[in-house]
Amino acid sequence: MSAYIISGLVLGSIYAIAATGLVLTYKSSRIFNFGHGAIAFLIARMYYQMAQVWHWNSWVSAALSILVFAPLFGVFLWGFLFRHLTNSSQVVRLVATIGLFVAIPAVAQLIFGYDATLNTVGLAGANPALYHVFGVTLNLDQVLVLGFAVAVAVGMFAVMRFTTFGLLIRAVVDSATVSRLVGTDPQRVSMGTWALGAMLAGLAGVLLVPLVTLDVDSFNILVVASFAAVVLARMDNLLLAFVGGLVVGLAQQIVTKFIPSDSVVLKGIVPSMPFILLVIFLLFWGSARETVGSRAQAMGVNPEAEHDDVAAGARRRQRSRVRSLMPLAVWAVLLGGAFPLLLSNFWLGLASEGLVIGTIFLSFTVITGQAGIISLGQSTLAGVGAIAVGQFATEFHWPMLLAVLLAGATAATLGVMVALISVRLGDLYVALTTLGMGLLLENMIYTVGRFDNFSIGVAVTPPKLGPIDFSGKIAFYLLALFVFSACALVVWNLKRSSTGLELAAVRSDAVRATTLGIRPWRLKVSAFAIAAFIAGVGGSMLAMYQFRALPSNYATITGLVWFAVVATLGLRSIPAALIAGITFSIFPQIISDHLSQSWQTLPTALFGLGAIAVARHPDGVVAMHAAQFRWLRRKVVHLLHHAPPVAESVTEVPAA
Amino acid sequence: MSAEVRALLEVRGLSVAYGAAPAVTRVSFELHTGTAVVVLGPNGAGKSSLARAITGLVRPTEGTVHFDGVDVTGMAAHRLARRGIALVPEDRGIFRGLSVMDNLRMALRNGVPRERRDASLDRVLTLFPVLGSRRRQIAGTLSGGEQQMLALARVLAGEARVLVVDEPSLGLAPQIVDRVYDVLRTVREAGISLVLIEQFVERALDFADDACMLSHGRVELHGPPREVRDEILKSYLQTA
Repeated sequence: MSAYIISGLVLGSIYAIAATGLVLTYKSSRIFNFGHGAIAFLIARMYYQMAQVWHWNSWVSAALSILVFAPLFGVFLWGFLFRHLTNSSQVVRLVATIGLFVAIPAVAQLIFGYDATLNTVGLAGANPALYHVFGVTLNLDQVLVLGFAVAVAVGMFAVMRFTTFGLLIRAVVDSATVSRLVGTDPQRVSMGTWALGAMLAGLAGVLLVPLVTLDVDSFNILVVASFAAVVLARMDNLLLAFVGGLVVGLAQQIVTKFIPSDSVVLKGIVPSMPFILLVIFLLFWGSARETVGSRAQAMGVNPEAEHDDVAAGARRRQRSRVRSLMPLAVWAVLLGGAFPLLLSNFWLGLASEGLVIGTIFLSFTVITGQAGIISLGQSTLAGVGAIAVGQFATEFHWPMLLAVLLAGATAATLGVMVALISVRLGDLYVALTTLGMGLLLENMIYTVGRFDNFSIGVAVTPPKLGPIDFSGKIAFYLLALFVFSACALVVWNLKRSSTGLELAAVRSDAVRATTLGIRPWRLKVSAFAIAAFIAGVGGSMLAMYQFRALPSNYATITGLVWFAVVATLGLRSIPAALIAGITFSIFPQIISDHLSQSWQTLPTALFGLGAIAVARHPDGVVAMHAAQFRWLRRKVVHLLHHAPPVAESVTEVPAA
Repeated sequence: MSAEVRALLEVRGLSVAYGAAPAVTRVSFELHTGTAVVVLGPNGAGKSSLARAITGLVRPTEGTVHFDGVDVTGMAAHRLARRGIALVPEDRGIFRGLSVMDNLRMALRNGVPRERRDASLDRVLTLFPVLGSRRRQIAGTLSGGEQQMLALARVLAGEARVLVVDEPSLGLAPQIVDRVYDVLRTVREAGISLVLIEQFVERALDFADDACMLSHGRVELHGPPREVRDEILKSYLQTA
């Protein structure tokens, strides 16, 4: 047993250090940094570069990485991103940090190259000394992990309790306004905590180097596992976060003792343990709500955009029917006529994939754009749809249309279950629950032999309708276009319906909406169901496109990249979902055709950076360009008519 | 006050707007060292917005604020606090989750040289003995009056030169209000200038050297209390 406890403590120490950094930065800035694991990876990669590529002394490399580079990077991120998020809604904050999650590793690979980082060596060197503790053999790297964890725990306690910096952090957490009134700049304190947070991420990263493969997925999964500890700490208590990290690590290792090593369950349950605990902690903290941000201004969008929507609606009503239908007609001609006629089979195939992924992206338009909820499990729901269509259509031989509808219904059922657990807890907890659910299903369900089928998945063949075989490129393209259009119509109608209006009211201010008799909880669960249904249908279409339902194609981490792409282009608009889908499928191919292999992560980096830019343009690139186009058109019209300039309204800007 | 003596705080044509809605329109007044000006007016008259604009929490849309001859218009609140302009807002402006001692440490940290911090602390704890006995208590658990005392102690410890107090008597029992005004008197005698935002008209007029009445964001009456007292009271009765 002691072997399990000690190895659990080693793993838990890493979680504890990561969770402490996360809670520290959340406390001081109310920004939950999904990019914490990515920062850990970057610092670890920096350490590897110095210690193993340039052959510098490992301790010097670690000191430079953790004590110099990490805080500088933390300050850079604060200046470049986090300080601009102070007055943003919780959704915008999350989108921006998810952008970091996506962009940092891709940029790191662009900088350091794609060479495999094998035989990684920790601080203890290539042949670490061995120690025997309670009959368990530990190497020096593992001892160092335990030692650093104790140092972090003691150090953080001392900093928070006895230093001026700790007092400033506590004061800013208590009230940023009063801090300003006594002469403290909360932004500077925030900068300091981001530097410290990046150091803790870097420490966790460097300590992980000898323990896991130095690849971003391993790092991200390990840091995401520490989210359970963060939830246990209710995002607030540093000590609980630390203890929670240890508990998660211990639970993950101890569980292996009680399950036979040849068990299929073990394969799934060990990596799933943090997410099982995450859900348990969420249920335990059932009454926990976010205290800041959950009632903040419009979620996922800015209030001006809400106003613009109303104004645009009024303008649309004033237009003639012919003019209103013009944009739709242009899209129809372009997608329905020009693409199949002009594109080669290869590019038409990619366009079909874009339409299918665009269909999945429409689920983000509903859940985040309309309901103001961040769901990070949409790729998993699409995966559930793919698995379901594989089972219903191929294994049970049911008609494809019925199978697709049932796939959507299966995903919707799962979506409702997740919603029931999480929506009452607030935006951030929904994001964490959906992420946890995704990783849980990925470990527990995706790996089931019946679905995974030795990593080749279950064959799914596009249907036939009389003489039309949808396996053909053009036929499948038109089918994908039809499904996208049908889902887009649902989303469009939802937006225009009274439910859409109620969702807008809840997004704007849930409390006021409640006073009007709206039940936000029920609305959000409904939105979850609709979005999950669309994701399920999109997932089953993607399975058809790929001729197989392979669960690993719907990884949760991939879902975060999807989310970044949609956020970049616009979470509220149907055309943005379409453009995002097509961009996601075609852009990497264009890069691959025109740039060398060393640029292969450029699209991912750009998608991540695009999501980060959401901090400045909450409605995405499409809405931003639409606004610029409208501005340009107004200017041109004005110039043509020589009208006197109209003064822009002056708005009050807070001083700090 | 003689016209030659430069005012410590000069507010000239100050306006504040929230979007298209004006809150304060072209308000002007002067404040000399060791004097108090009271800003009166009904709810929504723009008193708190004026206080927030002077102390840097809101950027004015028009006008200037000069402090000790320096234009500090639009300067960030923490910079103004370091220069000596302090605000005790309506909700007291204390760190409710920190101990009394930590609240005072925060105040001492900025603007008070390290060697004078102990003396400053002793001074405020002598002035407010109740805080001395509760130095480890969490500020949010103090009574309303004690919280107001802590808010004033925080300002005194920080060695402010201009104190803007927003509704100091709000929600307090009459005897506690007496105590608060005693402290404000001590503050003024110590050479600190006061901008008092108040609805407690008679007491405020008795206290102040200058009075300014706002209505719909504009100055309706302005002058020494003895000259404008009757008109202000009449105006208040009409508004009521």
